[in-house]
Amino acid sequence: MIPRLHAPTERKIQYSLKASEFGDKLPIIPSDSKVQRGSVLFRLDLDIVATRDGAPLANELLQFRVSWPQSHARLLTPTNSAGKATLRFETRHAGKNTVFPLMQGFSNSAFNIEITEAWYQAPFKITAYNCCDEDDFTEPLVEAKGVGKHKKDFLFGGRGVIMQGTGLGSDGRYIQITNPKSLSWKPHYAGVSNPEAAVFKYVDNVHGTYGVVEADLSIAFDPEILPPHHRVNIVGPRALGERRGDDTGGGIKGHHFDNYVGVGRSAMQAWESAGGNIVSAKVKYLGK
Amino acid sequence: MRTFCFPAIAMLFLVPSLLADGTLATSDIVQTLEPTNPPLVKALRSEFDLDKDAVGSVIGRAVNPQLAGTRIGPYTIRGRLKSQPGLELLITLKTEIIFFDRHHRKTKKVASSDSVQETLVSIEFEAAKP
Repeated sequence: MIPRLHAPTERKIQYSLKASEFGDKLPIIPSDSKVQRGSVLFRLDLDIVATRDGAPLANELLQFRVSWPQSHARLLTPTNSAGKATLRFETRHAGKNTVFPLMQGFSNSAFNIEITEAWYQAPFKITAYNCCDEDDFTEPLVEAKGVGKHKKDFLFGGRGVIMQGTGLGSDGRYIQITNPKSLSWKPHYAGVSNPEAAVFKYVDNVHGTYGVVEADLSIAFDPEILPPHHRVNIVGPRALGERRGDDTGGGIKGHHFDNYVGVGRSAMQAWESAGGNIVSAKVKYLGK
Repeated sequence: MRTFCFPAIAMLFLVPSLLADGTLATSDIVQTLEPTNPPLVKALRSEFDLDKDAVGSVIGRAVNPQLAGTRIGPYTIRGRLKSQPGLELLITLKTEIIFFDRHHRKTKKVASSDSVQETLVSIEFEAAKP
């Protein structure tokens, strides 16, 4: 009996990155995704072509795995008659990821994806905040516990240190309120009714949640949207350039960055002169 | 002094602005305050052309981390009277501010409050400095 010889079946998958809605092949960070364990979610769609011995592998819902935990790759539909389908890849791992077909018999069918930057799918609202400057205030000097004499409205006004937490004194030193819970406010929050209870201290700088904030670099952000100290590039419609997540606050929610512009009225006027708030900013995630 | 049909709108000359502040969208704050005083917001909309950005006071992290970054009044907005578009104005929306603790009881202690509610009470304006 003559044995029948079979040529081994060769299954292959070819991958190519699809352009996103931003017109390039960077991943997106989906609008509805949130930061988990300090990482954003990256999503990339890939075109695949599956073949068996050079012929299209049609109507197959192929399974895939990814080299990192908490990463997924799945076909959005079975392959069509040309063996084509869209593979959706999602990971929280910035760096090198590899996608493999889960079934055996595929040769040379792994695909490496290097992730460094990504587009936030949702547009951002960009606002600005400053730190108060004693030189912008007008009331007479008063004695204050911990810091000596400073302008009354700078320390105790509704737009002064007791509301914002920190301000720059005329002597060039930053002043912070130490016991805000001891203060009772007057009607309309024009100031406090018990200024004698306030205790201030000198600090080395303006501090955000994660350390010192720097003008035109630091932003306050929602930790569900950006991990601490990670960087972004605000590219349009008015380019602000690179920013870093140094501060947070319960008042900053969702796709909203609050840009720290520096000290005093002049910093805020410069922001407004440059165009002011951005309603719908295009933002690129840059990583840590 | 120029006074409109709404007595709460008045021209003043001492409007604080841009001290310890944060910006926000004028449309956002007007929309937020509208239910608290519909006639005044209607007057604001009908009498003024407003710039897109407003400026409010900011609650700082050192004062209350829970509310840090929250804007509260008074809010200042640059704008112009529709009847006199050549004159730049600084318009101030004054609000009554009520802070609530985590049990939703009113509190005057900003530092231990959990939420804030504002009601528009008056609109004041002055000629803006160039």
